[in-house]
Amino acid sequence: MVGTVHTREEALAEVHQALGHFSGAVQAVMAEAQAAANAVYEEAGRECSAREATVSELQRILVSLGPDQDPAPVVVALSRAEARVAAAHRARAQAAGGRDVLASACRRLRSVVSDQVVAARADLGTRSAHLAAYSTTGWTVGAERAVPTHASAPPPGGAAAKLAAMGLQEVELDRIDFSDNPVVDGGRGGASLVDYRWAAETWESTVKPGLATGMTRDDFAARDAARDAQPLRRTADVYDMFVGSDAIRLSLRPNGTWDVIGGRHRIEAARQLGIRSLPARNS
Amino acid sequence: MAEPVGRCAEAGHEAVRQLERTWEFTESAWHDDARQRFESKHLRPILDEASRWVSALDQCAAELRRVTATLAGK
Repeated sequence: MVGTVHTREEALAEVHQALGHFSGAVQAVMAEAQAAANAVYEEAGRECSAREATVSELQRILVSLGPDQDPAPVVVALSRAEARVAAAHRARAQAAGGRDVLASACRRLRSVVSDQVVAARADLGTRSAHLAAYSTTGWTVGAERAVPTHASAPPPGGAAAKLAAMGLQEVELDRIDFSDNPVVDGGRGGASLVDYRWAAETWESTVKPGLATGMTRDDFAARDAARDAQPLRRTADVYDMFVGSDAIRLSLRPNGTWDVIGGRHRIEAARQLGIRSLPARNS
Repeated sequence: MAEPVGRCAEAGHEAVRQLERTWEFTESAWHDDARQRFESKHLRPILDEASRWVSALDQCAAELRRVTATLAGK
């Protein structure tokens, strides 16, 4: 089914495709199931007719018996045949019941597939278009909220000045070199690279724009509390990781590149996501 | 004759499970508030109706198995 998904764009595409497969699969199953249920109903109907014909034949034989012929065997056979007719009628009624239950459920699901699946895929398509615009122009238009670009243009609202006031500066990731100490393991506190990717993406999509609008760490903590955010999924922690007490720490080398004192996992995750710059403290 | 519906019920369950698996699988890469809203607005209603549908498929398959048994005189 699904391969590896690293970015939100890939996730949106994956869900979009899955909804398409789902829609096709359920429509095929509906058609096959309804055809099969109809076939059972028709078979029960044919069985009714055949058994009724047997009863008619036995009745004809019974009335045609001569006065010296014993009717008992025919009467017994007729009784059995009438019981078989009754069973066939019960079976046909059961088949009709099953067929009707299925038809009703299929009608409802067809409505969902034709309306909600289509709407869901359109929604995903719109989100993908916004993300594409976000990657190329820096801002999404008409999205649920404006989010800044992955590109390294200065953040809005004087964010560079705000970073400077916090003892931080925006650093181009391609100027950071930790090839002599690559990421080969998990991070602190059991965090995986997936957790760091979440943190980097949340920094770009939520915390960084929030800072630009004046949000504080307390605001992010309140947001987390309102959502009952779990460890490794808290925006206040993302704040700490990027502009707070645990911000990325770098050291400038004589050749103009940056050495990493702390933050390799965050930088690695950000690079995977296409983020081009992050705030860091010059240690 | 009833078994094709039983197989359809299995296929229906699998279609629902696959959509659920994909949704869960993508959580590591898409995990913002918009995901929760998408789930509430679109995905949950789809999966809820699909679950009712596969229940109806199961019910229909069971009913048709009884039909077959009745016709066979069991």
